[in-house]
Amino acid sequence: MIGFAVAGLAATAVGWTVLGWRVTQFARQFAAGAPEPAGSRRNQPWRRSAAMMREFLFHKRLARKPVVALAHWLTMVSFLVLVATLAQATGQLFDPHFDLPVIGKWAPWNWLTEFFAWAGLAGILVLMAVRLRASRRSLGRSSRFFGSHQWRARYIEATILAVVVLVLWLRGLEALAPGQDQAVRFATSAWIGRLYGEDLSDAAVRVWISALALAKLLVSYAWMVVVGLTPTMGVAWHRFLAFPNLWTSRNPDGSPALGALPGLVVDGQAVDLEDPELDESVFERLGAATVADLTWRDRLALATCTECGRCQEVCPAWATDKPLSPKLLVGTLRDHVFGASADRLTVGVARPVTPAGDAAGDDGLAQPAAIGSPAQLTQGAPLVGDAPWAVSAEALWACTTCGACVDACPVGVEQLDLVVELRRHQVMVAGEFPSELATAFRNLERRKNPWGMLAKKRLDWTKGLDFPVPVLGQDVESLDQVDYLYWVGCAGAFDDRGQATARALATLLHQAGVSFAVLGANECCTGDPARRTGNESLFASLASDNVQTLNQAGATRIVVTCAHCLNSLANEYGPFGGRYQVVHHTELLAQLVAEGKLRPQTTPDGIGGQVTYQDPCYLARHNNQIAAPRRILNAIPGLKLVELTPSGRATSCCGAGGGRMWLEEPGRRVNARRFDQAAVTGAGVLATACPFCNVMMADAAAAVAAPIPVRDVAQLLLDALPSASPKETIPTEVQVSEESQ
Amino acid sequence: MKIIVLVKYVPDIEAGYRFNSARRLDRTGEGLLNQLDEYPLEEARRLALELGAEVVALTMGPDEAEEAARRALQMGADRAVHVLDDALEGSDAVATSLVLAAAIGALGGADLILCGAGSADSTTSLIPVQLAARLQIPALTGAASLTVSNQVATIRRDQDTRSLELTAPLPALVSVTDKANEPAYPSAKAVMLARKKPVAVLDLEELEVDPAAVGPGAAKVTVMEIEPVPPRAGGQVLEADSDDVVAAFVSLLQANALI
Repeated sequence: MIGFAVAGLAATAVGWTVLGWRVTQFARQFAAGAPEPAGSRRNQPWRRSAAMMREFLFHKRLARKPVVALAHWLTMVSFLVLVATLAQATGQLFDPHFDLPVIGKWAPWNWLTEFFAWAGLAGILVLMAVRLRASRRSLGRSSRFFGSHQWRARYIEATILAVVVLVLWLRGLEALAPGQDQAVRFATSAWIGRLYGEDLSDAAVRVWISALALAKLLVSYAWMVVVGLTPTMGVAWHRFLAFPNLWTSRNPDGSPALGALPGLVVDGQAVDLEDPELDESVFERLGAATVADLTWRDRLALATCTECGRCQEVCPAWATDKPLSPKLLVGTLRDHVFGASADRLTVGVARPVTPAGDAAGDDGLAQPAAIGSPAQLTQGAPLVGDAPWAVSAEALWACTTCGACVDACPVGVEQLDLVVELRRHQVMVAGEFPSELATAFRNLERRKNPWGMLAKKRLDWTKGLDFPVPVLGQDVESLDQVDYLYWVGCAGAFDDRGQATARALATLLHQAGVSFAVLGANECCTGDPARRTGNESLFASLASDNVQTLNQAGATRIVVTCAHCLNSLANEYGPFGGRYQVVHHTELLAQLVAEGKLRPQTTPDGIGGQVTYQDPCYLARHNNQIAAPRRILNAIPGLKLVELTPSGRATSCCGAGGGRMWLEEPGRRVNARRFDQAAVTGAGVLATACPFCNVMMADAAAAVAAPIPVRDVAQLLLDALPSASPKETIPTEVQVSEESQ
Repeated sequence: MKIIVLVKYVPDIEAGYRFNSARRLDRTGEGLLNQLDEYPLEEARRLALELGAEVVALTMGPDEAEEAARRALQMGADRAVHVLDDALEGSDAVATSLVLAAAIGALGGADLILCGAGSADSTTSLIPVQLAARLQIPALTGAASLTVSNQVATIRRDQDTRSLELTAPLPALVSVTDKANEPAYPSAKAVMLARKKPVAVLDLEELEVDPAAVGPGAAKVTVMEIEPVPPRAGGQVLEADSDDVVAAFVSLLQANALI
């Protein structure tokens, strides 16, 4: 028995030492990260704590998979409660009939322990079953666990299973102690002891307890050693790191890091690229090039990733066989952080993000394309590049910035911000990016729109309207004279389908008696495509031009037809001095319908009885606007809304965001996949509320045998009005505006 | 080694040509660096990295032409020279090459002079050869590729049915086509650094050029009349899916003496 005690104490010492050492290493590695801007990440501590506790206690984000959420919650709480059994087992090495002081004999404590031991057992069995089922080999890439370190996860699961089984088994034996009140304290475990039969001597009970207590300690401390030596084992570390990671979320209220992108920051200082006094060295350090550019919060988030694959599962790029998976991107960056440390014990095996099938998992799903050695992941190793341990350019540019990954992540990893940081370096410093993008950038510089169309053509969309559209400065002196400034957007001005939507909105506003004016040739691109492709200097120049125009015009209330314009104008112009009330056209129209100023009375021709609706990512997810378009569609008589799967906030991207509109897309296309999802609803018309969704869906429709027409919600509403002016018919084939360059 | 790149500020031609009362191109309004000048700039940037050369962008034009010089600086030129003089307005190609030759002389000459295949506004493409003649140096025109080694420039000139390889000893002038490279999009750093690079302004007096030798008075070519090209008439479309349409098509071709 003394041998048991020595072995147990030795394991205790080793386990806690390794774990403690790792914690100090983490602290050092996180502290070595670049600073976050002052006033971020740690502001509003009470709000942050509340948000963190909400996620911890209510698992709001995990609840998208309710069974997993419940199983995880029980397992998580059992881990916390059962820490006490470590002390119990340590005591049992010396005295098998040891009880924890004070609470040990207290019945409620015993019930709590028993409940969570059983709950933990049930929880972990469910989680193990879920993992086995969700990582079936036949699923291939579509498994959310594809590319995850499966054996690491299985080891963690096995440890938890062993611990809860040992806790229950030990309790069964503890119940056999002389004079024990089995019925009360050991209500659900005493039967285990009774399985030994009547003739078990007290000496034998003592040996059994000591042996099992030692086994329990060895299992727990082996776990501490393994995870202590493996900092890249997020599946284990998230139980500690998720707390600080959630607490330091970008938004103090704990909402996902969507909407506005963070501004340019170097060394924790905001960078104004227009500042002539700016130090030249700053220009080498824009965006993230190497591990040194990742902030402490980036590092914390990377270490927290559990590889659960919820992000991968919802990524439109991954779903269409692109080499990008948010999970593998995070894993790659994480391995850079820990591979780059001088610590020989923390060998992080870099996980290549390479074309389909090469993404390596130790689950046997695929073979690694190549593995970077820690020596290669030195401090200066580029995060993006051709090296197998780097994020490939193909993966980096496949991101549509739809934000589905950010919204899905239960531990608050902000993947989209990481992608944009990487892109910023590629565009602004390295000058490495797809050549089509250079054309879009030049068009934005010269002509202030990504298509390179002439500014004087910005009013072409008004041709054919039977009422004048007032232009600010020509027909209207001041915006005080009108209800809204209509921000047409480049798609509304230059794209055939966008123009049709613009005409529909203008007609509807005209009919409802809402006055508005447009900026005409003075409108520029909001800069959204530049910002989301990492060209922050171009974004800043377009944003400051627009803010100047808008502020001079005295703009306060702006209506937009483009979800991307909405996001930039409403969320991203504050730092440039632009603060406006920006309303999406669907919200304004829904209000006009509710007020009875627009009365849809007829069913639009030729679209059957059912409509489905594609939620634009930048409306539904980035800006949480889901209800208004549905209210309009539901108000149209004879039209039944059948929902797409997925829809609402969980919508899937059309493929145009993040500058992808102007990039080539080889292979299976994001828009084709989303259109197929719309087609299976059986709806006769596909409605949307963003000109980019509109173009992408129409483009996909044109490529299938049985296309369904694609319409903006505003067009359908106009068609449903009784007094509608001559209806426009749009051919289903695509009419993409020509590129002038 | 010194490379001088000739760059020009041109009106945005895609927005349409406008002419003033003197039948000269209206150069006010939106303009930009002549796009064909981006190729020699990119070539110069590459050669400067390879050979360690200094790159000077040279432009002649009104105040707005500084914008072209700035763009050239963003695209890699180390410094820029802007020949600016009211007397220059309305100069023809002969006068322009005279002034540019004087400016190159004032800069102490160059080992290599690079220019684009033409300018988007007047498209005479006369400057490269006139300038080479005035400077008494060889001109390699229409370079689809350019290499420089051992004081010899070698170009490939692509023609319809053949490619020529031509060489000339330095100093030489090379005009570069859009086949030569893919101009890099300037990084934020390049844009920022360009703000601090100098743009020297020279006038005719400093160049010791007689104002009487330039401007509309000295122009040997006079624009008599400007007429817009009539819009292209719509084509004729024959629609049918029978053999009749073939017969109709053939007779149409015959009627127009096309076969």
